Amino acid sequence: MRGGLSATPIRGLVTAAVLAFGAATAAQLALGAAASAVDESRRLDAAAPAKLLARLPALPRRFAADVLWVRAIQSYGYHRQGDMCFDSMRSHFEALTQVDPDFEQAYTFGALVMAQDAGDPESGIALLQRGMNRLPDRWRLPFETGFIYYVVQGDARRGARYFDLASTMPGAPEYTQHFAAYTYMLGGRQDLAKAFWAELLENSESVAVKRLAAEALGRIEELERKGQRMQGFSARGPLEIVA
Amino acid sequence: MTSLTVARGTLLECLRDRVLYLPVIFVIFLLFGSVFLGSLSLGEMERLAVDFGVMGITFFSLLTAVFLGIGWSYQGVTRRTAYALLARPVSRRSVLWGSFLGLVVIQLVSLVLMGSSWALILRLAHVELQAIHWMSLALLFVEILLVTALAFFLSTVASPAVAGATTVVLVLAGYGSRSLLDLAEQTSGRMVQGIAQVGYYAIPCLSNFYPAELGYTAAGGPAGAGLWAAFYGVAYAVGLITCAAAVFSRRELA
Repeated sequence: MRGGLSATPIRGLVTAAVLAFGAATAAQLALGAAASAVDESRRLDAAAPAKLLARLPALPRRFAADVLWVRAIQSYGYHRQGDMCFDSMRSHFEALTQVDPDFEQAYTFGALVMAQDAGDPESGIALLQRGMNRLPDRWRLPFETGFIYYVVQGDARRGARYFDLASTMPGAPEYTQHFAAYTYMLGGRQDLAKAFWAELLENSESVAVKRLAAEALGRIEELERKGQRMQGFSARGPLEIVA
Repeated sequence: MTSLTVARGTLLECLRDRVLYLPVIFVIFLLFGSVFLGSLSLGEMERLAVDFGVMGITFFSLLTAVFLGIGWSYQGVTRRTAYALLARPVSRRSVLWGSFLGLVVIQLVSLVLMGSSWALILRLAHVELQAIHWMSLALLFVEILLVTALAFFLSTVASPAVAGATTVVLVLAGYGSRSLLDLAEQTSGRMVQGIAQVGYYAIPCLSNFYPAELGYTAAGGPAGAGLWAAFYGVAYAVGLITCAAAVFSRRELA
């Protein structure tokens, strides 16, 4: 009696459970096929309720910003592997920085994507300006603004101003000074470029940088002797100035 | 028989009921998941792993606090398990304080388990926790204390279902209670201002228990604010449990 009563119902229940889970898996497969036919960008690029999320208390607001960040990265990857259309990036990063205005990487990465991939450097710079207003002591924000002005827009003068600003901020690495020096030279501000190179020559701990600075200073002085000025922007980059 | 004996009994009962096993195991899985998600986040692994950890631990701790708080009334009064205790020479006040203490200790154990797993998992992912993260966990414990006390108090004055729903509503309101001060500043009506201000002080302000809300960053923050927040939470919880003891000592038990 013991064996007959306990074994048969359990076997039946296990079979029923296996069948039920099998049916659920089959249904999920069918649903998965239907879902893959839907345009994924509609889900990824749907507007986030940024104003509402920005009113949440600190912990869930930061968590919401993290989710928006992962979503923005997903959307970027999706478009990069597919249609190369990055129009939605602006709304992603604007919503993200509205929800968490202290998310530095959202400003820098968002601006770069807007400027380089979406071909909209003005929006990228505007995003960085908002970041600089909010986080005035972060060197990466002016540095990247300078980078977009110089590399994307070909405006060495403006780029130099922002590289200069970045180089004065706490924690800024030495290469911000190199960029400032190069772009001042390219923008025709040899006086400022000379000051930067002299500073690097005197204070840099790197022998290579000291050599670079000495060469650049020599080149500027040679130009000054000839009464010439270094003008214009070079698409090949700043290193050619000392080549 | 003292409150401490009752606390020990509550603690053993919780362990026997395996109340916390599932949340703790779930959170540990979530913490592993957060590191995995962080690795997909383009340079923001540290931020995501830390934030998801804090969020997961907070959410499950508060959920547990609500359920344990109202569960005491359900177990003890509705299912009459406290009656055996009350038949002994022990005051109702001691039963209530002891039960509360037992629940707090079990939640402390759970928080320590989750927190140490979190630190270990992050360490394996080469992420170092900073002082502000440890401060978050310490203040979370005070928050758990307060939410458990709130659920405890409400469960002495209402049925478990009503107490549970009211606790959840008050917890949500407690996160946004600072908006009441904004409302009081923005409105010109004196009555609305008065109601908003009373509401602000009456509802437990749970945003006090988040270092970022107190002005703390990784670099530091206002001296003493964390201690004031802890003092606020403990004082509020003691007030609630005292009220609960007063209600419970006069309650008619059928």
